[in-house]
Amino acid sequence: MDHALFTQLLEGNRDRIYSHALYCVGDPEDAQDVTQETFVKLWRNYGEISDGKVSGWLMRVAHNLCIDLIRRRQAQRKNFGWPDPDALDRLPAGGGRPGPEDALHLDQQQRILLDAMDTLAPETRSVMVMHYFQEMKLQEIAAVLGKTVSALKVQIHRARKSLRLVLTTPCEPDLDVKRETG
Amino acid sequence: MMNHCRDIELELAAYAGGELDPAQCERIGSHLDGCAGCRAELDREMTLRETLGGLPTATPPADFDDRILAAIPAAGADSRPRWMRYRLAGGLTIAAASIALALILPNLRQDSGPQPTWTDLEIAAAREEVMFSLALTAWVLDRTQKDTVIEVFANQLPNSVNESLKIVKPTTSGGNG
Repeated sequence: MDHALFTQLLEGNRDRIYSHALYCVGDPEDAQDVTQETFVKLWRNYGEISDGKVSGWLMRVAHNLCIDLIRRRQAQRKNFGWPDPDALDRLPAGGGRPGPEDALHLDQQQRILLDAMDTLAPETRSVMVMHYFQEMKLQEIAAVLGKTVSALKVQIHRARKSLRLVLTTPCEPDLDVKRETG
Repeated sequence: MMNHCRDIELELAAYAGGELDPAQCERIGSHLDGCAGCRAELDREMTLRETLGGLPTATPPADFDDRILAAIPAAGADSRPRWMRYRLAGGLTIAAASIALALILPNLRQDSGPQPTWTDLEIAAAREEVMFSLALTAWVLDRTQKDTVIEVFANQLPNSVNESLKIVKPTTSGGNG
């Protein structure tokens, strides 16, 4: 693979992959690591990728790297004896680590929803980002991840049920007050 | 009715995303007309769609491309610390396999005489040892990183192991013929 082609693919896909990683892992530094690793893998494996499938291949690699990273983070939290606090209690707080809300201008509903998505399984969160943010059709996601459309429908349905509280309750200004005083 | 509602709810993402055919849309639409619960679920689906769909596209720092391009030659040379560890594990195992071959194969050579001095059972045992070493190599590399297995096998099997296996094969057939 020559550098010119690689640079072209990097420029054409960088922001999409980085955004996906950022909304999956929540941390800009981690998202940069995921994006870098994704493109390094592209450099190494370009010859094995079918024509016209680079975009989906990149998304699958980023998806897998995000899942690995989140699982490692969860394992570290578990090994160090940090119990995961009730996520709903800390929804508006943004947690202790920098999240997308620190790097981007997100509205309150977006911040609340992204925080609530921390409670989802890493794979489900990534699928949600693919479908709703990247606007990938279920059929496309199924092809990229090697899953069935039916399985994805079940996954999204369950995620929507899990997020029901934040999807139903309108943003309340006093949530911020509670956080600041509590 | 409950089961029917669940079926409808399962389809709401595809319905809201315009991924269903007209007949399916009509079926779901008519159900929604008479089911407040499913309409509420559709509202949540739309909230999800609008909220996540409205997220801005993020851009990494300005020097991010340079960082990636700087990482590329390193990746090509397999010089990252983690990668080196995998290479080392693979290299050590290959070395072990090579030592096993070096010890075993000279005794299997039958260049000067037409009749083999090793029985088929002994050759089979030696072959098993060689294959065990290779399997161990494959296992170690597979446990570390898959593409390393491909690389090592592609680069090293033809020159070292395959030649050795060719030596064993004629000896075996010579014993039978």
